[in-house]
Amino acid sequence: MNGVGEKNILFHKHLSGQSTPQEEVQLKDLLASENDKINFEQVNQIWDLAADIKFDIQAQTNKEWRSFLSHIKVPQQAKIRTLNRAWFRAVAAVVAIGLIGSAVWFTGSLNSSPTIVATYQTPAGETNNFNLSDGSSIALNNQSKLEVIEGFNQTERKLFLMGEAHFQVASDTTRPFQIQTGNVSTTVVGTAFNLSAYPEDEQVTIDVTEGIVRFANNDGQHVELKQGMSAKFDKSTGKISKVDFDKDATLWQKGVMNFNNTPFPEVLHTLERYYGIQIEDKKGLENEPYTASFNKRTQEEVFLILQETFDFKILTEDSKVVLY
Amino acid sequence: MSSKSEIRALEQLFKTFQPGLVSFAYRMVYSEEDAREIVQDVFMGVWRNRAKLDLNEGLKSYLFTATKNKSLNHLKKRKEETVELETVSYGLAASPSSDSEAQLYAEEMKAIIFDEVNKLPDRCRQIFLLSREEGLSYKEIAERLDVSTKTVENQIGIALKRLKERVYGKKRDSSRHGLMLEWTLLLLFSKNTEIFGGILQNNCMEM
Repeated sequence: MNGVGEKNILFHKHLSGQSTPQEEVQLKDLLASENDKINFEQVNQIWDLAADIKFDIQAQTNKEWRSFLSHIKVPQQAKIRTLNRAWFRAVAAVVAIGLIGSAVWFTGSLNSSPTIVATYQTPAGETNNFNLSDGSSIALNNQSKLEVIEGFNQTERKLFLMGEAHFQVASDTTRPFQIQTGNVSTTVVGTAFNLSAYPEDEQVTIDVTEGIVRFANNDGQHVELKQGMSAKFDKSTGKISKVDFDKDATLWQKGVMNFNNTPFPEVLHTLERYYGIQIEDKKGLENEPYTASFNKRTQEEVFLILQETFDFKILTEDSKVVLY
Repeated sequence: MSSKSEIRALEQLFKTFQPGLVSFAYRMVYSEEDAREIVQDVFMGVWRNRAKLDLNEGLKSYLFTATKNKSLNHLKKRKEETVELETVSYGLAASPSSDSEAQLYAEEMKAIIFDEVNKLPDRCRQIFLLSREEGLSYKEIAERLDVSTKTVENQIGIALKRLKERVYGKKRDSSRHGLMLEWTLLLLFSKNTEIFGGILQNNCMEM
């Protein structure tokens, strides 16, 4: 009676009325443990609920989905906000490779469309921390999505990221840990870093908090980053440059919005994701770098503080904020 | 935000919850065909209102509440005899709203269980259903499928383990119980964000 599977079998024998008197005693002993009791209750609940499901409704779901699709009107591609066209041109394969034990992996094909087995997603204004099955722990920033690709932790560890996350990668030199972001890819074997790759931002930034990372584009330009170093990939020029380490890059995990000479449009994007709002800058406050730190301030407070630095008025309507 | 990413989000939602919702509707309307139509209708509503939906209670509650309401309307329209209405009323009853919430919550769990059962490997799924639906013993299942009873036991163990992980999260999360369940989908809607788009606009960077 060691494995979880065996316990489940014992639970099941009881629930389906197949257990021997001896097994009943075993079960009774097992349930003295609080943990096993919870496990039993969970299995019990699942078993009971499943009794109520009409499984013979055959899962024609794919067929029905196609039928549904044929009935909805799909609008023309909606406006894509602030998306730098150069971003599309930049043939940016950025590969960051953890140099633990001098092992180096290159990214595989980016064009196949692998099966997603799990999705972690945060809406505007929320972050989430969780562990993956390999023991790596992830913190996901506002409005970000991390998808786990089939076969994770079997021969390799592949993920898709849209948005920003901090990765504490469990070291495993036999299974490279690869994060794909559009056509930007980051591969490590065991290190910790913050990767910010929002499509609306002008750059992809990486801040290494542990280990060594190689950050490269596909022109062969690369930088080696040790703990305490940062780099950015500029989407418009396709160039990588080292930047001062942003020790505050992970403050978002504590709910803090931190700006350090941040271009103003990017500040606005961050606010949008933090508060779940849309901001229209009619005044054109571009090119003004901004430095400030907001610790769980309300939207109103933050705009008041911004107005101390920048000259604009605001008009708020539902979730839309117009600066003029 | 691109409509492509909206569709993708909706597809994920549809594929996860449609079977469970049809099963739920079926238990009210007792017609598989009608149940399927009702659920199509519910998703149509989600699509039409995607820009306006303000769903603080979460998307799943919306799906299940809408399915319940539409099923009941459907019954009213059919002007069914008391018998069937009675069958249904236990769910609604004049029960306090907390009961109704608990009921909807149970329905959500069932939908998740349904979805996970659908995802089990064929043999594993078959064995689980022979036990759950037909009430066959390990020995009977083993004979029917011409495998050993040990195999049957193991497959049942695997099925329950997967179901438990899906519904309650991995072991370390067990204290969080069902709250873990499909939270990502729940979060697709947030108060001030356009449905799907807010989060998934990031998809537009895919080339």
